[in-house]
Amino acid sequence: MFDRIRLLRPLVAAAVLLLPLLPVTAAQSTAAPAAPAAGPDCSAASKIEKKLAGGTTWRMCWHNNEYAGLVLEDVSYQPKGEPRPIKVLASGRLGQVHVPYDNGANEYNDVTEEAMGSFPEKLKPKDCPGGTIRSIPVPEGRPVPGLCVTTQARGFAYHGNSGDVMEPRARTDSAQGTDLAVYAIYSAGYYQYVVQWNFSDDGTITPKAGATGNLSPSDFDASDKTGSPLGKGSRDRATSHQHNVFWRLRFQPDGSDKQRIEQYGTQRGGRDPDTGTERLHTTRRTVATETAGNSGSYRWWRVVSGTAKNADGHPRSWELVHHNPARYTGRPYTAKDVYFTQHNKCEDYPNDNRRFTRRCAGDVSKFVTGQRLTRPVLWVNVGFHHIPRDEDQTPMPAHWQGFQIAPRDVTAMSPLTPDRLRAPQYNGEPHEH
Amino acid sequence: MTDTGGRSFRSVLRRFSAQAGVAFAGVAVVTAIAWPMSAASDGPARGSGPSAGGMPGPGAAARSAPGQYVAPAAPQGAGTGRDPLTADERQAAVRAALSADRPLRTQSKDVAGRAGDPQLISSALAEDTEGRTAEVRFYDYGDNTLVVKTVDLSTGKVTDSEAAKGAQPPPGVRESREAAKLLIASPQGDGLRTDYRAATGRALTGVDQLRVQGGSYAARPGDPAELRECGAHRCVRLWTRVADGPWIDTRGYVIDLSDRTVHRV
Repeated sequence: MFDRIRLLRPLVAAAVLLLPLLPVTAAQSTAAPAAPAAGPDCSAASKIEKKLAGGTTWRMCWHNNEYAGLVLEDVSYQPKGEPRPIKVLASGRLGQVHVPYDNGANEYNDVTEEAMGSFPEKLKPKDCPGGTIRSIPVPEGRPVPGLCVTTQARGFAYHGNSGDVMEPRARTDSAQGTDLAVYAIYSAGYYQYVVQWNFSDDGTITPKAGATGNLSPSDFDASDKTGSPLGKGSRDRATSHQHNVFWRLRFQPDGSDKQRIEQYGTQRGGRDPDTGTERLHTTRRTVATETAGNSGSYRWWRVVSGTAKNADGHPRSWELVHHNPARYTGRPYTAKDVYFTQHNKCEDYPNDNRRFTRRCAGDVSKFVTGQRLTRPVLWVNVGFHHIPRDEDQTPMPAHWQGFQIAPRDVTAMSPLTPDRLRAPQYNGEPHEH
Repeated sequence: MTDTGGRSFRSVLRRFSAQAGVAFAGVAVVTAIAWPMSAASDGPARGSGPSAGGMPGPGAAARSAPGQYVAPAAPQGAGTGRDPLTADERQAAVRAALSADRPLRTQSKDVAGRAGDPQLISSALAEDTEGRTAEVRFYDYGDNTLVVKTVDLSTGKVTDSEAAKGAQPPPGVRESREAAKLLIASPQGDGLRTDYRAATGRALTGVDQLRVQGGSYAARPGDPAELRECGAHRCVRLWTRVADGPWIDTRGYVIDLSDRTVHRV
């Protein structure tokens, strides 16, 4: 209870600026004033660069952190028609994989206790279809061919008829989307985690973790009443458990630390008297100081560039598309879905942080102290409660958890819009020409 | 920089070099980076770092056919931007960290209990920093202290130093192996030895017969009295499997590396 109060106080104390959701009328048409560097800041071996079929290029640097595994830095997005790469992330990596068992017998921290990043699994060519496998340096051992850089189909990007937007000779347009996929597999005891980042041609980033390997063979306990029967009859019961996966993100939109966090919320606004339909009222506010929050069905956040606008004059931003399907309230650091904290040198992990330093607080709930957010770090928490089933053996089919970062007003239209529809008359309210 | 660390300083570097030599075997050494100890009398000669093997260093990242393995690019010389530390930079960072702290390099103990050197746990490019900055972690088993040194690789200067008790990052490879050695040699290792023989038909005599992943262990509220020091002491729990074989569950044991004892959880 004490921890919850500590968490909520900064929320209340945060200097929030309530803004009505008014249409942006500014007619500025220039984009980023700061010219970002042409490429990511690393040598060829650490660089990933891929131009996808839709014309979008993603660039980044990668390295391996011996605790957290794959780290992506200096991530930029250059859709078709943009003269320069648009920087998105300064860095992104796992923060933690926290695994408490329902019977209270075990609670693992696979990043900060077991250093899962030091144990990448070797990938075979078939594990990286169509891609290239790069080697991951590990402490005191030979580099492991374990990082896959490849492309993946993601199904429909769009399907639509241009008559809807008044093209004189209407056509049906459709396209299949592709992603750049970057992944490695790390083992932590019996579990193996696919740590993956997908970068879509439409500008969406999807970090996700797939847990596979095997259910812990020593956590079959028939007596604790928290397990599921997996063998014949009901003798062997695999203990239920939770995977709380944290990602740590540091945005640098358009190459600048100048950014603000905005929180959106939507409330019911009463029924329209004529139609009887409920009206919804959406507001947004700036989150100016460190905050922890839950992403309800109508609450979400975006990171807004403080310097750059798109060609429509709208500030460029990146939206956190996030849903935590199993919020684990057993620890203060997992009790909230997202934490926005000011960058502090020794705040490296969302919990267990004092394993590495005694200078900073021990967990992210205590990082939230009301500091102004001038250089925010985002901690994104996604839980998965695993009640084992017969099909989890063996090897266990990967179960995934993750979230997305979607471009919001980064470009004036979709980067995948066919060239003939990239015209002023198709940008905005459709009308006859 | 005028004092000399003598044998102990060199030995930690030799050990470090040997480790790095495994990781980066075959890579010719090019010391293009700042070399903070070049004026010191106790540092190893320039270029006496890892390997010096006869193989040519690989060039830039090779392009290859889909699914093919790409040989690692040369982890040598100075890295660029956000590259991971090269072998040379790791060495330079360790040297700089130790050279600036005589007590650390002369009055510490490593995981095997040898006096002089602290145990090197990790060295990596610091996160969220501009320029090439390394963070080097040592553990001094002499007084159970974690020592973290931040080194600016462009100047070779230590820019920050933290010594902390009760901070226990995950064990390094050497520490996990030491924990396994202690378990194998302990009367508590009976079950492990029995399971190993059952799985392989052979006797378990050394840690090389196993593959271990160590986890840092801190005392929990219900732990027996002999584990209460874990947290202040450096304690490890092991996930153990026969090399290329089945798991042997050793999670019921905690190895206290600080006092070299083995306990049941």
